[in-house]
Amino acid sequence: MLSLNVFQVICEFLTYKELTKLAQTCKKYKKIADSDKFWKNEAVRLFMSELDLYQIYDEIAIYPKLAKHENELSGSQWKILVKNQFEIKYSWKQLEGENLSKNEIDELYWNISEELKNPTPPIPSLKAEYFPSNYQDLLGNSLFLDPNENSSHQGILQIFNSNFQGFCAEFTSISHISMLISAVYNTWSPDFELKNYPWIMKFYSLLYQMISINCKFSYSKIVCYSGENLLDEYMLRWSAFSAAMQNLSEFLRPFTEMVNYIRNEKIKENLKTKEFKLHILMNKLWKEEVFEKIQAELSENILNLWRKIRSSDSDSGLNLLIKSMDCIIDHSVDEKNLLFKNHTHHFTAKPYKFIHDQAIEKTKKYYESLNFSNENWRTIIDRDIRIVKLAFLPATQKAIEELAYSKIQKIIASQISKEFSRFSIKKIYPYNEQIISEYVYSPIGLLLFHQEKSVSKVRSFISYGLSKESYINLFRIYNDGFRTISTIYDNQDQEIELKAKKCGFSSEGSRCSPTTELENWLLENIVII
Amino acid sequence: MFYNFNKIEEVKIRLRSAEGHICEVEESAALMSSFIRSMIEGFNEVTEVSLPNINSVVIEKVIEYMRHYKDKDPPIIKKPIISSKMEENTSAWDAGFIDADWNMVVDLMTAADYLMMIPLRDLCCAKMACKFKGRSIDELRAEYHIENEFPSEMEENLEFQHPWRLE
Repeated sequence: MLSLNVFQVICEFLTYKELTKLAQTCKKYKKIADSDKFWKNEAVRLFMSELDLYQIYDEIAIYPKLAKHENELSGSQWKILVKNQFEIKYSWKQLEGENLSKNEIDELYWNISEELKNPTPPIPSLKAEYFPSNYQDLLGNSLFLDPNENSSHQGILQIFNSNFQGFCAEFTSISHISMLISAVYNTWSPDFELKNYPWIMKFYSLLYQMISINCKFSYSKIVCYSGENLLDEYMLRWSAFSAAMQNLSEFLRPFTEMVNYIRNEKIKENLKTKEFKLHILMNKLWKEEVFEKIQAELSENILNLWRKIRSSDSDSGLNLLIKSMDCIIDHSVDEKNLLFKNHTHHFTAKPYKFIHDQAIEKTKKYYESLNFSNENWRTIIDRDIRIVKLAFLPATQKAIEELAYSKIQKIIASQISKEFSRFSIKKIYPYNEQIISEYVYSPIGLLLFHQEKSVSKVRSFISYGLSKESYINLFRIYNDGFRTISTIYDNQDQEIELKAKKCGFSSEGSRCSPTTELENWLLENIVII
Repeated sequence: MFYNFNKIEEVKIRLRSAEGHICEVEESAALMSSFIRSMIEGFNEVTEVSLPNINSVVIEKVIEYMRHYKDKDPPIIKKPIISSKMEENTSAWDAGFIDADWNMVVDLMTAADYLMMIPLRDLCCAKMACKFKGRSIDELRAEYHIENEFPSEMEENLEFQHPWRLE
């Protein structure tokens, strides 16, 4: 009999079927063939593929590419995931029948599984709005979609269009209707027992499970890494998943239209619910199966990376920080708050809010720890604000800019106060009297008055300062810092509010015509099966 | 005055087998083995390496492989293998080289592992995997003298655990 080490290498050359056979020959081989390593390789080969996202999504790739080392313990059960995936594949056969033949079912399964496994980058098209990520684009531009526009993927899914009445007629009981409502609300967790479901709900159920298992595979792959590698892997997997989300939403549009058609036919007008959207369901599953499980680790790694970039002179890692923050923003936006994500007051969604709070807390400490006695303080703060503006949303940018200017004001105040105490009145330096008066009655004048209540000394010092360029700059920064920040962000906020109003959103980030109460009532009273 | 560099003889490394026989191989070919490379780099004057676990027949076979791939990279064998025939998984030369009996392949594999020659080790493992591919559980047990340790209920359970059996 072969030694264990040799056998382990041999197993790498076998498929899951051959491995399973070997495992059934004796206990020793079973133990080796059950090991996570083999099943991970098989799972990746069969259902995930080692996506060369660096090639597919060239524009999002991080350069230089990270040489990623996987942790030894992946912490997941790859074999169980492979098994579940096969169970879904076999359950798919239950869809065969009057509506679809075996070949059509196989083709449908193949299309969906390939898209999840190896998503194609979405084709660029003219959009009403520009958004920085696939998911935000999907959310944002669905507000402007023309519902009468036909799906570009008709083919096999014509079946949905030609059988509206037949599919609808299968919804005969209240349990079917409530099943549909909970599906629309994404609160339905289907199982493999599909026998008594209407065909549409069987399809929904299998689709749900395929997406769910795909998310579980992604999670298992992501947790193989740690630190910056984890951020990189997460960013790549999420980009791939959101691309699949966009492609499947388009491909399965006839199915979502079917669900919404049944909802319209079967639910009374006064109990109308929101529309079913596939990307909302897919995002919910990703959040449950992937994001929420590693949210804390992701946030910690993002903050650590930011700290590393801050304390070094180079921008190495900045691209990864920006892309990772885009992922966090993606998980924080929804249809209601998306238009307000750049608003400095009305965007308080949770995953982002946590990083925002931490960022401010850490910035306070960072600025306190910095030694501003040298001449470089302006360069350090300017670089810090540049990074924040690239990676964070305006709410964080504003808060950190305010902290920076508060720090700058303190430094300027201390510099000027020192000069002022040493200054003795010699003359009023030649300068426009009106400009000198403006500065005397400005925050800088107030600062000097607080120190020494002598109008003539203050006037003389200001006229002296205005004759030197370095002082003029300090006076301006001291006087205008906060005023400039507020003006820029207030104007931006007003523009957002105006635009949102045009789209039917209130400044609280919800629709002007409130349906929330009805939605809540439905959730509590009908959809619980 | 012109030197004829072709005439300068390459340094040879002497490999001492388990039986004490000496097999000589050019240094550039021997460097394929990470084990020999570390010996040469670690001790400058080393020209003889003792291999007490490997017999001279196997060493000759290893040297044949080293000489063939002295100036080029061996082909990478795809995992998992696509066929039970070696010529469909790798180059014709590799397939011919590894076309040996089971014991020889096992010995070669052990030697490759010891000498830290990953391409040769992979070639041997792929050859062994070919022997498993496409065989039923009973055939595997009979060929490799494996006793069935599973009670019949457990065997049925193992079958049930593998949904891909339906494929």
